[in-house]
Amino acid sequence: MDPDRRLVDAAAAGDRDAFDELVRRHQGAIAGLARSLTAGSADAEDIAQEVFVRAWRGLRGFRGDSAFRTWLHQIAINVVRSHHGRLARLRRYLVAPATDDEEGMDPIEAAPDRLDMEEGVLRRDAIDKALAALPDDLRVAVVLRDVQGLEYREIADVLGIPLGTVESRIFRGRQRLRPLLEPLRAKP
Amino acid sequence: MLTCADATRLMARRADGDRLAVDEEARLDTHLAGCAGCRDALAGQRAVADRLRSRPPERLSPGFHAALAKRLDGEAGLLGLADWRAWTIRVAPAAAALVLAALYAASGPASSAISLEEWAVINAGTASEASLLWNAEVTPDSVLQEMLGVDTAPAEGQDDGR
Repeated sequence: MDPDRRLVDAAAAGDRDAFDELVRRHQGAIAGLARSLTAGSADAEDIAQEVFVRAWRGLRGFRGDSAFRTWLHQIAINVVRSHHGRLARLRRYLVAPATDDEEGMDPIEAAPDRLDMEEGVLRRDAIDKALAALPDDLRVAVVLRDVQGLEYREIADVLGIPLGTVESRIFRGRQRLRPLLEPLRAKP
Repeated sequence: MLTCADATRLMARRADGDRLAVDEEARLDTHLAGCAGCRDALAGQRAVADRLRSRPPERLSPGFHAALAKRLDGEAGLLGLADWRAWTIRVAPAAAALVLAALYAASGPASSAISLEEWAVINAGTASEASLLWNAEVTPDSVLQEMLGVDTAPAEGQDDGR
């Protein structure tokens, strides 16, 4: 049973208070997902807003075949991909190609030296930069599992791929992240 | 016998503490017992998952809710357009005016060379009723006078009572 079902039904009937409660429940996860998938981009909150606006628009058509959380993550992945597409097009026109040095930079080392910032922010930046070094398909699978805490079956539903592919992508993604995250102290 | 390639598929879930099928558990355990490389890979899976899960939760900026609420309010307005019952009532007066104007244009001066006032007379009944529509000095009393067909103005030379 979807724990959001009652609120989803009310929101689909036009109840904004119910939708606001759904936003409160999921805003942290969706903003975190957006930031994890965009290398800590400052656009993450705009992306999160866009996700909720699209959810509000589409709620009347949401049939509840999957959990609301799964559906929301599907929307978020699509919004992030659109965002990446727009950025890639912009870069092609406006920005010079990255040099070899920049491309080969260790994402942890590349994190700006901001010792005055609290450890949590530094840790988040370091993780986001390490994730940015992964190919898109591996990054999305790993983030959905290890950052968002989705079950393997849910990830398969969100991405529309077989369970075995999810398992394989998560395994390979973590393997690639291992040397990048080793400098990061494990939390007790 | 499980190969290293087969084992990788199961190791991600083992690292997460997910329960595998009984036969999968046994085969993976057998493989791991004899494969140092896969044991190391499994340790790596756990280490990475632990670090990723330590990513601090997102803290939204103070303006997030207000900005989202504003966008949703705008959406509510747009979605309201889809509610035909609401907007047809709102535009009904303007639509009625347009219909009257269209009727006048179709049967009015252009086709029969009469004025708008004449057209109103034809369509309103009598000249006196129609004149009410166009007389800027029309008052509630004059409307009543026209409806009753009486002349309430003092007769010429009649004393006003003083």
